[in-house]
Amino acid sequence: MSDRDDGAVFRIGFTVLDRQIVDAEGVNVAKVDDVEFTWTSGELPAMTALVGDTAALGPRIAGRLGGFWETVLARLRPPDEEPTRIPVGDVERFVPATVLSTPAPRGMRPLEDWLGRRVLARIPGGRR
Amino acid sequence: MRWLTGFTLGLLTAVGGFLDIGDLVANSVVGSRFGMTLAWVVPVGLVGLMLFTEMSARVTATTGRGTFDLVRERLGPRVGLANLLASYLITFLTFAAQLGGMALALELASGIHYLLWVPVAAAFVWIVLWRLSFERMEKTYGILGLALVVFGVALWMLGPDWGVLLEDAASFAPPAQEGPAVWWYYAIALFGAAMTPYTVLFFSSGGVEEKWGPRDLATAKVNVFFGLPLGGLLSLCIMACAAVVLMPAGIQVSDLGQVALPVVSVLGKVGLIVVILGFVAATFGASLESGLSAAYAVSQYFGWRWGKALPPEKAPYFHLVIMVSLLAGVLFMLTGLDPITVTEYSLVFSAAALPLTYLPIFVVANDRGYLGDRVNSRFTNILGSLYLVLLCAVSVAAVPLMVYTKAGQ
Repeated sequence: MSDRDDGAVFRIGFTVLDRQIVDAEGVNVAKVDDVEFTWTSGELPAMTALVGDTAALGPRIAGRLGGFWETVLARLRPPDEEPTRIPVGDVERFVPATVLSTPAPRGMRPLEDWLGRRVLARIPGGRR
Repeated sequence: MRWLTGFTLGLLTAVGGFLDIGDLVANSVVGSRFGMTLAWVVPVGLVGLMLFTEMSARVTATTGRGTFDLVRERLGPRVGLANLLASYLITFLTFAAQLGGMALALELASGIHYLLWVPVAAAFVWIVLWRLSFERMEKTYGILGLALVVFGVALWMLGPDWGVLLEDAASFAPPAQEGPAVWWYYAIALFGAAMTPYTVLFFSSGGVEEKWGPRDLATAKVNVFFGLPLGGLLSLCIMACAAVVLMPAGIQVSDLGQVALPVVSVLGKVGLIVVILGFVAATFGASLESGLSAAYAVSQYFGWRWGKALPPEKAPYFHLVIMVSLLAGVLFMLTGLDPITVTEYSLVFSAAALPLTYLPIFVVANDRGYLGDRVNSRFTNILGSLYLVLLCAVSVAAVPLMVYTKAGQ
């Protein structure tokens, strides 16, 4: 992570949140909608994962719209699905986009994948 | 040699791509009502468009990222969302206007009522967006759009008194029979037509699709600095044609037939065929561009996979946004709203929303974190700041003027 090696100040709001996550093959994975911190007693809190979850945008949009946003999108998620977590260790660099050293985690966007596989792929030319 | 063809094609595309239904209608309406007295707006809009298109080309070539991708990053999710909603609605309105314009052009060619052509036009747009590769799509309509050069030929053959036209253009005052409020209202519409936000959105996302790197920057700059002014010159020709033929005859432009009238009056049937070809190509190209831009904006905000380079199966949400926008556009036009009115409204609302698109580009183009030493020069920043002040003034004035003049009546 170049930003740390330089010893430059690392601002999460500026460098991490809302950046595009791109996997090792250059495919768009998600936006960094939220970040996860872990705090073990006796140690400093540390950023452990990036969260790609459109529902998590709700509190960040704030207000009544934000609340509505969070509720609706969280309900739309299948019950056994967790929001996508990407461990910080998988991140190769943060600037200008968040690039991962690994392929995208599988099955992280069930609805999008279903739509592609079951609907669009069946329209002639959908697979090209 | 390949470099040369690539270069020429890009240039032609920029010329053909500059003109859409908004430019055709705005320039013709303005020419027929105000002569050349509003001609100064075209260069003012053009310089602004060149300035900000060059910035976004620089951002895309250096970072490999589209405009809206950066909007959320720099403005945060809340303001970014508001910006997305406004941009989407305006791009959608522009898109619907292009569909209507294409249907009107097809009516002109066939005599079949335009409402029947709307679904057909939309189907063509969808097929191209679904199947054709990005480059082929861009080049075809760009070159066909050049048929609009016929307005230049017609103007030449009309043999107007150039001195009077120039004098008109330099007068900076409305003609005797029109009031200043309406004059300013149409100045704003014309400005909105020249600086249409989707142009920049499409240009930057198209750069990502074509995988621009720093080496492509020179070509992109040539296209911006030569192609766009040629497009601007063509729109001045359309205005002058209307000023020479329509204004003395007292004809008010209310459909595309009247836009074509000056060409038909000197070039006859051949002129009509060429001009209709140009209308169809320009509106078709602009429907593709604005439809894609709407989907680019939404996909980039949410971080979905997007782009015409991917098979539709791999970018499902992106294609879903395209399909939903197309369907909504067709339904919107099928309500029977007059396409020319929709076009004029889309121009004024675009003008009102101009700062939303251009401010984030300006901010990012000054950020060393993204651009290293390719950030704006001091000259670009001074000019850019002046333009932002102008854009804000236009944005504040647009809707009140629209209400006050009853949309230019």
